[in-house]
Amino acid sequence: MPLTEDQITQLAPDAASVKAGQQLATNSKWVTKAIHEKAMWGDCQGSGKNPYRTVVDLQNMAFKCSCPSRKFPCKHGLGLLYLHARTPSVFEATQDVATDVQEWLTKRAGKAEAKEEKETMAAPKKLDTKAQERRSEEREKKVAAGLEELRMWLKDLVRNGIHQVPSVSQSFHRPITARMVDAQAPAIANSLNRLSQLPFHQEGWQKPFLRKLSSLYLLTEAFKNSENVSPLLQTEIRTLIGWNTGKEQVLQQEGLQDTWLVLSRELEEEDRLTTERIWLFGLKSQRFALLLNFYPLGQMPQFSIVVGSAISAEVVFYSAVFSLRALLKNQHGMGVSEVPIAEPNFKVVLQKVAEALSVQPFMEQIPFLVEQVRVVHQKGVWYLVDKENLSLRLLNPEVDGWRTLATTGSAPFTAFLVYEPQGVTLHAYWISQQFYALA
Amino acid sequence: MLGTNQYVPAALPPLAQEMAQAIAATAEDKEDAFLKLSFGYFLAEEAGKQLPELTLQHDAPPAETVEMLSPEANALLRQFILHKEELLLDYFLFRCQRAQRIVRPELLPEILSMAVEKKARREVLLQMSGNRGQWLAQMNPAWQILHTPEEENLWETGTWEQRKAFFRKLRADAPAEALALLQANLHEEGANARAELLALLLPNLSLADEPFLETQLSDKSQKVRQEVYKLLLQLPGSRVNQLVQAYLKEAVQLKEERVMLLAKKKVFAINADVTPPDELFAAGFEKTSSQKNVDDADYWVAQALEFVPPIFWQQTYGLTLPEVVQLWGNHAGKHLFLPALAQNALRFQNTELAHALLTGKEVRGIDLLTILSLPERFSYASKLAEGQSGFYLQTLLAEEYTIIPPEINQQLLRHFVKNPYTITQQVYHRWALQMNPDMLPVLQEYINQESEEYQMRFFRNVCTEMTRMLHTKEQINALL
Repeated sequence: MPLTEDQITQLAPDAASVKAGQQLATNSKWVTKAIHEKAMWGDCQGSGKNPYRTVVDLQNMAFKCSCPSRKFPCKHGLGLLYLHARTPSVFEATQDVATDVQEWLTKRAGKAEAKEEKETMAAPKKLDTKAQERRSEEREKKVAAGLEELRMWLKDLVRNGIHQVPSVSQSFHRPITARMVDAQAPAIANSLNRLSQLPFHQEGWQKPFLRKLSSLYLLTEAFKNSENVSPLLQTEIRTLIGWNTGKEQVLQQEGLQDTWLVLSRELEEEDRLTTERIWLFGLKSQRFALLLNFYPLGQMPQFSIVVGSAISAEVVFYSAVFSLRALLKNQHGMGVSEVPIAEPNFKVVLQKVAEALSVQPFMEQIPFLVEQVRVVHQKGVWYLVDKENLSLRLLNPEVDGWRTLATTGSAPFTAFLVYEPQGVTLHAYWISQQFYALA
Repeated sequence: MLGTNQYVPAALPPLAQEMAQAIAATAEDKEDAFLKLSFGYFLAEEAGKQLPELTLQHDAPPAETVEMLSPEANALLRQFILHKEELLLDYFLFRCQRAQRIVRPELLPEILSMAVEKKARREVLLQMSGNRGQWLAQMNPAWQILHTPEEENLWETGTWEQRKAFFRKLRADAPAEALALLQANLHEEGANARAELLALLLPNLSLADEPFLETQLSDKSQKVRQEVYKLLLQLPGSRVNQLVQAYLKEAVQLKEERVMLLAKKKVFAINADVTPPDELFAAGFEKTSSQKNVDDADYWVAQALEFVPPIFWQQTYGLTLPEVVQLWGNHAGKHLFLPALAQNALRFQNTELAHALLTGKEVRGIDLLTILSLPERFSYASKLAEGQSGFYLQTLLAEEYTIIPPEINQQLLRHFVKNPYTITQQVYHRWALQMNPDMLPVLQEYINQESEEYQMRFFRNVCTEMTRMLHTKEQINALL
């Protein structure tokens, strides 16, 4: 699938690689360049005597280069893609894949199969069951004690009043956050950290603040009473507190094979950790999937899915009442995106939000596809309005509103949005069959 | 208040009642009840959310009459903006304007923001933003400065920059109408605005403007009067310009001197007793020279030399312009008079005088090249590319991106490889945009040179970047 310049830019590990890649997007730099439906390859003349051999797997986006760069993809991989995007005519379209390229592709396919087999057939590790049980019990105790302290802290906070919070917004939560880390409840610690990021300078901060406080309180209550709820909800409550489910464990379950639209990708940096969120939508299953990846400081996101494309893949969901988080089990190919079936209006969206909250009241982000919406700018605020003129506030940065208005020309479009209690974030949209991502 | 005993809602809806009862049954304390009730309230609110109606609908943008850039060209432009490739961006804008294309809508926010920030590019960016750009600009307060009112209202309702642009265009297209507009409205403007608008009369300045300009000499603002005198001084045939010509005619005499008792030669002699009329001093002539060893009379003549129309020499002394240059070049005060003649050539855009000065033994005022056409500038390569290479190259870098002949490029490269710091990297990169692809192998030769001498390393890097610029330029050309 030919990639656009914007899509290639998304693959780059950093801005310097984009610039360097573009500098290599000139015919004269490449001694050879060829393309086949499976791969693209070329020899780039660098500063050394021998040119660097660069190969790009076009079916399951991957790169190989003989250069010593530790970046992935390197500037040569990007340069080859940019060159093809700008001047495809200089590539030799070949029916046969070069031997070394074919070897690499075969090796990759073999590795992927072996990995899949390993993941599905993985025998449970031999563990010291007793020790594990002991550790599990200890953690239960630690979490229970920690959550008890959190309840006290929350009660103290509301008893004393929340009016003083904005003046100490950067520090008021620190001791209890540290306590939650000690109590092995990292997800709660993250929620407390996010409390300090609320826009305290804006009018009306009290409502989202109180919502988060009360939500945390109810989560402690849910933990206390977890034996009275279904095992699925128990798992969800434990996940919200910070218990992790191992990737291997998830991958052993059966996945959902579908053509998945890659709707958006966001990177968020917080406390020396980069979180990558990729939203997918299954065309047959009509389900959303959220791929979550975490990269510690210094590690670059290794991204092989292109926003705006459609991938044929098997996706495995984490166990949850309203499951969204998923893992990509295997990917078979990449194609062009198409406009999916979407909800007709915001009434249906809100109905589904209510249904979702009735089974999982702690949900803060729910994805939707809605048709026939338009953007409206009124008194400095952006809204998304459906065909029945019902409006939801847009939470995107201002420039996204202008960009959407510029491209849609105030005409209705199909939108991919993420609902939050305060409004919606528009991630991508289709107008005249053309896909646009806001990133 | 919620969570205290001071307020209990009078009539709760059934759902809230049920919730309150359930919470009360398990409540540990007031804070516990408050937090549970709050979350219940938020969930209930969200589950039964009633969305506000918003009937406002933005008008559809007017249809475009101009073709849009291809997605590839748009993507390239986006990269230039993103990576602040100013030189390539300028070249792209130049090609885009020439090809009469507009940007695709997704890039409009960047284009309009850039138009607000960069005044020099504003006109071309607005042109490139098309009807949709105008439509969008009027909605965003940050871009409203770009929204151009209807042409007929521009003079009354436009911003100061828009009004000046309107007047500049009117002066170029219909000089008499521009004059009439100023005659009718100038008194309504502030002193600075009056001075700026009067200065805009310079293009197409003619004797038809003189009566109006003469009336402005009584303006109460000194700045305005100075601006008017500037115009009148350089308007051939005007009363003030005639004062200059009369003074020069009286002060400068063409004499014949005998050389070695055999031959005769003509010389200019200055009569120190003749002084310029007082009005010329009011018009900006300086009374005394600020330079050491420069006689006041010579200084007055030099100032007058800047303003007499070139035809004056033929009419008064029967001399051609090369003869005039030669005679002043032989004068003891040539360091004073030749620069004044260069100023005169620039002021009256007289290429004959410029050539006469440039072909002389001593090159006076290399900036004279700027009034010559590019092919004429190329003809001075052999004379200027060595000694004044940096400045010479600058004069070749024209906005039209005319290709510089390869032999001149090579001559300059040979000079710069020895003196690489004569010009900045920015100039090297800009230069590449006026090369044709034939220069790529030449640049490659410099890149391949293996010397590790620090100047050579710098020059190699410069050539590598020039190669990239040249390649990218070719890509732009292929897309536009």
